[in-house]
Amino acid sequence: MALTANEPQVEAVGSGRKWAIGANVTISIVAAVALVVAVNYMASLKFCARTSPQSATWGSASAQRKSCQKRPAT
Amino acid sequence: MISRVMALTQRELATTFLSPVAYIVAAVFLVASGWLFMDNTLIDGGEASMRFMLDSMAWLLIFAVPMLTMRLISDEFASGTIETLMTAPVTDAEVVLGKFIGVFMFFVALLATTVLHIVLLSQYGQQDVNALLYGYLGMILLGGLYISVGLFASAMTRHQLLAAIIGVAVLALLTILVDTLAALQGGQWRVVLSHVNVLYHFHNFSRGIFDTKDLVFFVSGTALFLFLTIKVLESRRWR
Repeated sequence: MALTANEPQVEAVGSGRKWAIGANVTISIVAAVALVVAVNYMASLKFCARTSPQSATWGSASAQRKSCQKRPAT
Repeated sequence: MISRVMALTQRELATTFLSPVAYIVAAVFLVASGWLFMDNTLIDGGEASMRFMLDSMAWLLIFAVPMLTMRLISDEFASGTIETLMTAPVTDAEVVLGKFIGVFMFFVALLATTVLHIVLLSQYGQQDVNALLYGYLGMILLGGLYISVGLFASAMTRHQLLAAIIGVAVLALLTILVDTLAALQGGQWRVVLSHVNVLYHFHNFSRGIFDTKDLVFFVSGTALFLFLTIKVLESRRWR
């Protein structure tokens, strides 16, 4: 069957599929944000800091070179 | 995958180095950093440290980086070359990574020019090499985060100026606004808002403190914004 030039264009992505993809993307973004928050929270619980001699003069760190801490979860 | 990303990076680097906007931004950045160096760092009786200059540069980059990144994807939309790019045998992630690395390399080259200040400062006093290295590491991580935010803003619109405004707005939200809110709040909110503040994490690096918390913050923040950019680019296929 020959195609006519006036044949209506078929919608590339249906509205139902749009909703499905939209929901999929929303879930993946929420999951990514949650993952970043969780990783940062865990990093704030247990961390290692290495200081240089200069930083001790600013009162922001002790003079020790390297320290690792584990903070209890609140 | 790596060869495709490298090809895109080369293309992006060539475009950046041929773009007059990049040279204007670079010139403004160098003049401003030179002025900051003369005004804050190279002062009689002052401490031989790049800390003040790096702190000031972090503020400067809030406005400079979105100018560098504004054309990255929005220009492709405006000129129609995005269709060619999207139909080429490359994934959205490769396109985003290629563009990110291209501008990131330009940023590192720009940052490398400030090494001249270190040489000049070392003529007058002995510097703490570790603090200097941590400071520049922080600057590179900060640049990566800012570029990913700028890339995300560029993917949102086809207008370059709007992309720059969105980029500056998001960065201002993550720095100035959060900083102001943290100053107004107390208790746990202050802790949470301080943790979201980009400059709070950067100050540790500029002071000569290398903390894994700050490293995780910058790397995860950059990855998040790159992921969001990929999703925005993907959305063109089904919108």
